[in-house]
Amino acid sequence: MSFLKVEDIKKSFGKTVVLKGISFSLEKGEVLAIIGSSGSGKTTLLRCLNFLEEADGGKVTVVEDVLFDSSDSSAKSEREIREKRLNFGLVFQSFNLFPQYTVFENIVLAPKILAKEKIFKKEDYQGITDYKEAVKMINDTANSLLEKVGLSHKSNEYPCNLSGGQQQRVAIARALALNPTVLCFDEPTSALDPELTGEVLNVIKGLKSSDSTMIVVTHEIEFARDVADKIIFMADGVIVEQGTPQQVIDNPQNPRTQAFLSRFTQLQGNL
Amino acid sequence: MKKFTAVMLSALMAVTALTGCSGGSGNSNSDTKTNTSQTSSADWDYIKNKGELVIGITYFEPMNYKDDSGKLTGFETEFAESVCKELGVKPVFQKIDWDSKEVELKSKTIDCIWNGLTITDERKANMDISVPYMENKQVMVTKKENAEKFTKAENLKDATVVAEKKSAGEDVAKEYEFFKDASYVSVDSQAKALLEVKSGTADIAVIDYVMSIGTLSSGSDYSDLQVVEGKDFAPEQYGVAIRKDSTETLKKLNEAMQKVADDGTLDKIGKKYNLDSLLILKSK
Amino acid sequence: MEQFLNVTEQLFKGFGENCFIFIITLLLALPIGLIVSMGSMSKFRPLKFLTKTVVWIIRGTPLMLQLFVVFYIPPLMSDGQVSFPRMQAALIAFVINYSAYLSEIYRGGIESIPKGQYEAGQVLGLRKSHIFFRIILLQVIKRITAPIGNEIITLVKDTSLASVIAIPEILMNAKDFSMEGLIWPLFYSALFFLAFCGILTLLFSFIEKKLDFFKS
Repeated sequence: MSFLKVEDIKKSFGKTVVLKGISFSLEKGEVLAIIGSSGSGKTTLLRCLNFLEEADGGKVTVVEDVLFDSSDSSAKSEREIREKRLNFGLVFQSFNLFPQYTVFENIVLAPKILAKEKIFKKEDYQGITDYKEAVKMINDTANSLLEKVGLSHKSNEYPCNLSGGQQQRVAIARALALNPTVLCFDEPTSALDPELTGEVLNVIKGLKSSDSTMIVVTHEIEFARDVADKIIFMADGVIVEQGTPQQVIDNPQNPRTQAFLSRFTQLQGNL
Repeated sequence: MKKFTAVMLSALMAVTALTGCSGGSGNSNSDTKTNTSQTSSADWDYIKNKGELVIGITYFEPMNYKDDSGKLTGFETEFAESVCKELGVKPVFQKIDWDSKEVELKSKTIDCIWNGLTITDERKANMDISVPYMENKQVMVTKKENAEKFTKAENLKDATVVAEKKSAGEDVAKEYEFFKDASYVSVDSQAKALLEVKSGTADIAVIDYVMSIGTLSSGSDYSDLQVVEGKDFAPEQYGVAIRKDSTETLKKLNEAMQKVADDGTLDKIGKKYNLDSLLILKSK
Repeated sequence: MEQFLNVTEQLFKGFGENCFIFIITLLLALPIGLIVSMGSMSKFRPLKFLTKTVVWIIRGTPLMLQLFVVFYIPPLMSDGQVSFPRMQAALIAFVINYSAYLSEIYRGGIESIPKGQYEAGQVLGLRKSHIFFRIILLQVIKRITAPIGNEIITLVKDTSLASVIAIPEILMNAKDFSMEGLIWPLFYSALFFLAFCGILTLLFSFIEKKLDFFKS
């Protein structure tokens, strides 16, 4: 049994079919990179995994735990969906930091609210039953995450005083603070100036070495080859080709993959 | 359905009152009549049961105004109090917006209008009005230095005459031969008409004589203005207005007013406010 | 001098009415406006339609006319049986009117917050109420401070409209003086409005400065 198993995910918006049945699986600690031209459905796939969109069909399982199953017609409460989406973390293309909170507050806001909710209901938050202790743990985690993304010195700054790359690194720390089983990145460097992409990609690389399971939607082919254990090339809502970076990027079999990649190498050649 | 029509009509009246047009002439008279299903004494019963008569007023000296201690007083105030004593009801004075007086009356937020109300055919069509008790006339107010000059019509050439819109003063300024060479401007109140003259934007204001007594007294901001002597126009009469078709209230009101005149109270009040020469409700 | 004091006292008395209308209207219309804005953003079509229609009617007609309707229509329809006291009628009209205006400002503010802020809250596992109160609200407040300030200053001056249903507010008292031959109280009354609006302007620039620590 795989760590993450995604089966036959389908999604349409009105008459437009965006996902025509996506299936893949991922092992613990593996990094999956999803590439493909815009409009291929990559982002929608991530949004479905994070319950920002409800898939029309399919099934998502994380370690035996069925998170989503379209054949189960029982209505899900907001609470259930909230519980389930915590298996996934999501880093947005446009960071979406909360502007009125400092870097540190951005990271601890959700964990503190969730811990309070849990402990108020006499449940535990990540094994802790005392709110004060939980807060201490959350603060410590936040500090070590800030160190990990290299922003300890910006802890008390507001997002508007940070560069795009720094904001995205905070967003990554914020997602990690909830300790998600799978961390998803939606084109994390697309909104950044080219000279700032490096710092963000380095942080993601660093996470790989700490054994996080990740799904990265990206346009950075070189980065994907570097960091991914597995690559999926998507076009028009289907997986055209998947395999190791060596198989998909260096030796693409499908003509569409070849066409897509050659456009990229050309582009990079021009630069 | 009749009720609905009545309401819509009233709403319309509210709107017209709002925009300052006094709509509804002879027509609304018949409408009101067909829509009123009350007996003639219903209105009086309503007032008697409440035990009070709500009197709609605006503040203007010398009719209704606050004295230095803040107490409401004036010719109309004292007259109304005496009449209410005869009627056996408590007088309650309610300040109103003069433009909304008809709606106030109709919606029973007041029971009568007692504030130097000029009796006109138009008003008689919409409201019942008591016997006339006082006389009024329109006079010209101008700067003191011009008072002599404006007694002659030929000197009105190039002069600007101002009066309150829809007032008796406006009729005078527009229709009397005396004013035919002057240009006319209307404003929304008599006080504003005086302000125009004081500020020099107009030369002559045509206003109520009664109004001029209160406003032009020495010590007021208008002490540099005066009434042009010997030139009066459009004599008119004041009455108390009540709701249309309240025959019984009208009867009681007229009787009480006559009584107050008969026992000399009215004359005494008139003398107090220097208005006795204008009284026309005399003891029998 | 004595006259000046008397006029000042009368105008203060009148301005008390203006302030009363102002305060009660704000206290009620600020929260009610928020509820109305929720209605006009509702996903439930009939509610959304109904709210938008009501807001359209209220914003599309003069406040002066609404004062008339609230005060005169009930007694006219019931032959004097049902009626609100003058001040109550004025408050009802003002609260309804200002709730409608404020609701549109709220709506504009709420809708201008990027979707990403909600989604970031969602993927962090927060419930809707937490997302609104902990993440969205302050950003909305920052965005609407200026237009709300504008509206509130308009309200100060609008309170004078209450004189059409004969509430003895400051302008009405000042006009009474002009009937007695005193013109200057009318212009003197402007000072009261100027002072009040001046204080409000200072207050709002203080709030804006307080919210200056972040950019959204």
